[in-house]
Amino acid sequence: MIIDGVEGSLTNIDPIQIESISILKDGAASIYGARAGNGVLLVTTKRGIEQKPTITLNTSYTMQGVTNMVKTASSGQMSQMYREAHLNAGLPEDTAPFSAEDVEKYFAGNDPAYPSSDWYSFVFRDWAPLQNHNLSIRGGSEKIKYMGFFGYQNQGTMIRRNGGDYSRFNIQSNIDAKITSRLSLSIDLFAAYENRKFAGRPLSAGRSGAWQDLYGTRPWYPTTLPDPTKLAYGGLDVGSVALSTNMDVWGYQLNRDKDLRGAISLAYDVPFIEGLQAKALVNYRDWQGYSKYFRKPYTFYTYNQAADLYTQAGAIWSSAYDSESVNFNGQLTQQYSLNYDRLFKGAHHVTALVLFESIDYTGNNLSATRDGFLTPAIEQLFAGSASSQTNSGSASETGRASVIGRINYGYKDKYLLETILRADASAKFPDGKRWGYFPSVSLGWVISQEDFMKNMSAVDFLKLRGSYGSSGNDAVGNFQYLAGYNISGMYIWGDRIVNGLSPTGMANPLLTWEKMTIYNGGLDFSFLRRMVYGSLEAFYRMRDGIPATRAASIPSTFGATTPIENINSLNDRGFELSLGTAGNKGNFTYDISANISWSRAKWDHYEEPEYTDPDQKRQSQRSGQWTDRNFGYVSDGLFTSQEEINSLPYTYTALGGNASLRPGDVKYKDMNGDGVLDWKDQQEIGKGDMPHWFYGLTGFFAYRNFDFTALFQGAFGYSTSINFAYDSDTKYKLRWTEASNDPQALVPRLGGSSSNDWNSDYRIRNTFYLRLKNASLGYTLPKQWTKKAGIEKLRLTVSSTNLFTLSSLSKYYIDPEVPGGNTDAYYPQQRTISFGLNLSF
Amino acid sequence: MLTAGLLGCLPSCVDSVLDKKPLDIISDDIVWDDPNLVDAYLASQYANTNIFELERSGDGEYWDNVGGILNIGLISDESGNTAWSVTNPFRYKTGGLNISGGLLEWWERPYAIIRNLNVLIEKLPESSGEPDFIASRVSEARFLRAFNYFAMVKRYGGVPLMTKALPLDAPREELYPTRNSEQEIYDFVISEVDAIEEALKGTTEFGRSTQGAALALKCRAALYAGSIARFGTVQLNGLLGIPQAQASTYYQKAYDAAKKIGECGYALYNADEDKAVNFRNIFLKKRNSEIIFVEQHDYNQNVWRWGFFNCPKPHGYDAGMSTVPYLEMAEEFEYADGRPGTLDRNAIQQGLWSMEELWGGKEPRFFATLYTNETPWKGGYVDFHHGLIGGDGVLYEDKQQAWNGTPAWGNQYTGENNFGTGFGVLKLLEESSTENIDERSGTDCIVFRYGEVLLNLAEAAFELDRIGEALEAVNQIRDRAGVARRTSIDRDAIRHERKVELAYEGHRYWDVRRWRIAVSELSKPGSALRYILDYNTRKYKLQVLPDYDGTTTPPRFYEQNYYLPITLTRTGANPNLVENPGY
Repeated sequence: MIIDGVEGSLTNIDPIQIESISILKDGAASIYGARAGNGVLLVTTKRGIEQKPTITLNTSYTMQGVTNMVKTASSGQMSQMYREAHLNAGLPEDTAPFSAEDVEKYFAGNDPAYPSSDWYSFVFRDWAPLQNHNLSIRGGSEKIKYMGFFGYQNQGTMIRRNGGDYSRFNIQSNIDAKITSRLSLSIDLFAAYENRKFAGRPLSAGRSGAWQDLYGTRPWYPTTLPDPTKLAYGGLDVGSVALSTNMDVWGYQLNRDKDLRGAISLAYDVPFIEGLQAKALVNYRDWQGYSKYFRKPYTFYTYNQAADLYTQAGAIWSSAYDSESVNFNGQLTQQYSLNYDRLFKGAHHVTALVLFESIDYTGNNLSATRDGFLTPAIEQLFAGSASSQTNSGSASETGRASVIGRINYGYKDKYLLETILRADASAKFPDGKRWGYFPSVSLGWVISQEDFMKNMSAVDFLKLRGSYGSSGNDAVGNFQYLAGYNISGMYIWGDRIVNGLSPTGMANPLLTWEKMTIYNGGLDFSFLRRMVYGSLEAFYRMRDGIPATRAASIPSTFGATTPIENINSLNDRGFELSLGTAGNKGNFTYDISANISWSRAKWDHYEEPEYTDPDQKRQSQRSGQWTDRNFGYVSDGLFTSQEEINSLPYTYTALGGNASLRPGDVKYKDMNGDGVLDWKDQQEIGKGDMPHWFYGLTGFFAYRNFDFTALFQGAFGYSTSINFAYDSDTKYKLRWTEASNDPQALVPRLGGSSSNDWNSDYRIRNTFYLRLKNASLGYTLPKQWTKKAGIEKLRLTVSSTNLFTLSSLSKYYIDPEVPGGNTDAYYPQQRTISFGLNLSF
Repeated sequence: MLTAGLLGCLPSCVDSVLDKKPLDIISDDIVWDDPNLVDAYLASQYANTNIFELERSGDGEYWDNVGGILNIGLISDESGNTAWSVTNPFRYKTGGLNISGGLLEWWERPYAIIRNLNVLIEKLPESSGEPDFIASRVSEARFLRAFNYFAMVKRYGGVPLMTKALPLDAPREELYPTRNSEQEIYDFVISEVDAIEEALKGTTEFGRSTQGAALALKCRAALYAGSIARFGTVQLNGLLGIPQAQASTYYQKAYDAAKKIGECGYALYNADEDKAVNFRNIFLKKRNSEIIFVEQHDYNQNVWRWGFFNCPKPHGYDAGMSTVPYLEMAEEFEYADGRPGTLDRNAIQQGLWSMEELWGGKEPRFFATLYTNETPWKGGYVDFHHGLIGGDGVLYEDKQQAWNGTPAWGNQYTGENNFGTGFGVLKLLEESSTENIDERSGTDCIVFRYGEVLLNLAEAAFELDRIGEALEAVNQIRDRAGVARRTSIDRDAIRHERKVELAYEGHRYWDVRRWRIAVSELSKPGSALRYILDYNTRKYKLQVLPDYDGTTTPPRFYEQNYYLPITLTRTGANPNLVENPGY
């Protein structure tokens, strides 16, 4: 991510600040940095332009909803699932958590002692608001051009009560001044302030989070108790999802981040040498993060209606806890360059660039915690008890330097050549191994500029290009080339606490850059005045010297963390095709294009032991294989009868025999026919959970004052592993029951054998999807009307994201873009609808 | 001018950007000469030896890691299945221990610890420190190393014996070692202790390895070796097992070590009048006379979570009662007058019983080790009742029901209606603290105590045919416990005493394995007890629930499980390792 020439990140920029984004994928990307091997996103922010000042105001209000989410179970469903799990394990009816009458009463729902609470609606709202407002001013004269921007965004969460929000302020000022006829100056200032305050229970996927609370909160507990001062127990260790997601009850996580950037650049047209320009850029980025986690104690109750008795069901924490930390980071980037750009004899266009860049990073952090607060009413550290206080702090620094040379030659815009040589050095490597040299060459042939093509009016543009590029990557921890000890851990001896000293691991004094080489070829074309246009591209990329340890190949009896060495290598290959058509018919303009791409990676060398067992080698060896293979058992539906189990010609050795299997358990195949079901029967299953095939369709239509844009995007040919970890409505509907005895039910017998959890293709489903990612309709008020009010342009928009999805997983209520491994518990993909207004005058 | 300036500052710019120093690494050359840093290095190896805390392996995500202290109880016949065991021991307890391993693994971490200790043992003597300092620290390191090898040999049998830290370019046979035999490892542990115990006399700081700790390790290791010789078989050409003829030599070593510990000044804790209170206090009164070696905890800094996991309700996190003793375990405790504690299952399920009638007269260790219905706790009492017989004679079984203000259920359940087995573990619970809410306990975890040494002495003496001494040792334990003395002793009586005295301290699983009785003892289903309160009389109707762990998945221990598997991953990485038989 390069923003205005300097490495940065896009997470805290308002899109209105961006002038253009280019994506560089081939050898040309090498110019932009070490670590450009995965491509570069080149972002340029808006600058001043020579025009009379224009003030633009944008405002929009968005409602965020959910695309697909697994629904929570009702009390009838959940109680029945508990009962089944208990009875299926062979446990007696006497100790069953619910009797059959209990389950019926829950389903019937007309007995107040058998309620079914809808915790989802109680805690989450259907639409969460997001608003974005910004004001910018742009203008300039020949001597000075300016752009000023101020933006504000506020986003709420799905949580109804005290769920917290995110707000961001952006301020930017870009000024370009021509000081003399030869010297120009730019001063850019950028500031982004972000505030996040959310309930302390994490909303991210995984255990101990709000989603686990949501599906775990039992629906047979009421959401509120008659006494409003008593918090209602929901069956969880933390009370209920309503309590753990409420900032006033559990506590909160607060983050305040500041990102300040200032840049000054000078460009000087060197006299006496036409076309030579010297440039200097200094950019300093100062970003700080303040983080606070404050947690409060609370008690929750159950209510026995018959006895009119409140019983304390539990309490969590005995006193409040506060943990705060601050990070300070600085990044100083300096770029000095000489650029030569000249057209000789009207035909030979030569440019040359020499650039020196250095980046210096520093970081500092400080943290402190206390608990034992006398009262949770004061939320600052000083109110905690000093006996439990902890504090810590640390600092780090690193840096990078590069020298880049580039030469471009173009002959009559027909034959194009570009060569780049980069020399990069990183402080992460030891002296003598710091510098890496990365050359690149690109060639282009604009066939449509050839004389013999000039007659073919049907061909607007046809270009053939190819490139070879290389770049380096230094993604390792700092100082891996030094061995030593650091302070970690502690132990109590006698009455004192002793800090521990541990070795940092073995060092590699020869550690150096990982090298990426990319070969790329492409054809760009446009025919019949853009009635057909597009491009076809293919690439092959090799990564060499990927840092890895020999831990996998050296046995653990060695006892030390083996040093990181540049030993692994990987290759990637893929292609991309895009086709489009554009044109206009009277007042109607259109531009439609579609694209499809495929890529896949393979390990060339992967450091691993030399397997001797042929099955282990087949399953575990990675060198020479695709990187995303998955091995597991091959399934054959579920058992439907006890006879089927008894007549099984092989035993589940890994379980210790077939005795614990029952109808409804997963039937695995004995693939090697040896009468025994064990690890040797595992085969390659599924197709990897990151898609290899992506496709999309964009359309832009304009008719008079209306415009409409749509982006469809999708993927296919990949697998999703569907694993319902929690008792939900979907799990209830998809489970195997004795009554239905469906051998293809997605959820095997509840309370079933532990073999049902083995990694197999039983739960893997082939996935494809097509999603209307973006659709936006805009209307610009006719100029005659607006000019009267002094307004240059007034445009109204209605847009949406993820409005409509077609996927093979919708019958399971799962979103096809689900993050791996967490089918039912993560912050769901959002479907949003927004209304916006932009005004310029 | 610009160009000149550019070229001029280039080299210095580059250097300042690239020559960075690590701000958090201490270099090797200063560590060994500084006694504080040597101690810090040693402290870190103590901290890494997670198995001090009831065989916790340190693996897994947060709760699995922290909850690992429960596994050693759950895997034996001391406890039934609970919510925690879903993640680790339960599937192995029911017959699922196969070549993928996963139960009580202790291989990768100890080899890292052993390497670090080997580095110290090699480098410290070459440094400029004081000879006494060097001798004591090297001895401590050798103790830790021996302790870790003992932990490995009781799991896997013979393992590769690494006594030097190898460089990466060591010869292939050293980098890919073969397994040393089980006997060699036991001999190593015993000989290391013999070599270091004198030098450890000077270490007195609590929590460090002392002479007593080293001797206790030797006593336990020699006893284990002796039982494996006497009851086990030699397999894999001598790689596993110890020849029968040598059983006595090992028992003799255990006996000698136990006797020597007796001369070190340790004594059974016996300070309180009330024998039940006294037994509880062995574990709560820090640094008492019986403690030989502990991992210390402090409520604020180095905590663990025994109390948090095991205490009765009320409880933050809706947890507690994470170890559920079987009814059979409760029956294992005798009556104070020495009668066996087995209940007449038919009789107790008839009529109504008060707690005094049911449990009255049991030995004090029963009341100190287990809690059950009406055990006093934090000013109230533990309420296990699951069902109420109302004044009208009707049985109310639903949570929401009540009769005349008395709810149908007590509060001692986790989750929906999990009353467990009707018992919980009281040992090591600190009633006066708020560990049930604060998610941490500050109690020390005892690794060696004098009570165990006496039981080791009894067993060794018995196996050496010194019946009188065995009887005397067992009676010392029984006197302190408040149970009637025995007049005669046999092997089963010693084993019973061990099971009851050392319950929930991480011994039972290893004991049934080394006695080679696990195939029968750990394949028995266990029962639970249900209490139903009778409103009128305030007594209880009792119900015995057999097959607590379910009929489809009862506990199952197979012959090959006497040795844990080396696992596919390790034999794959090092083909010179021979897998244990049966996997």
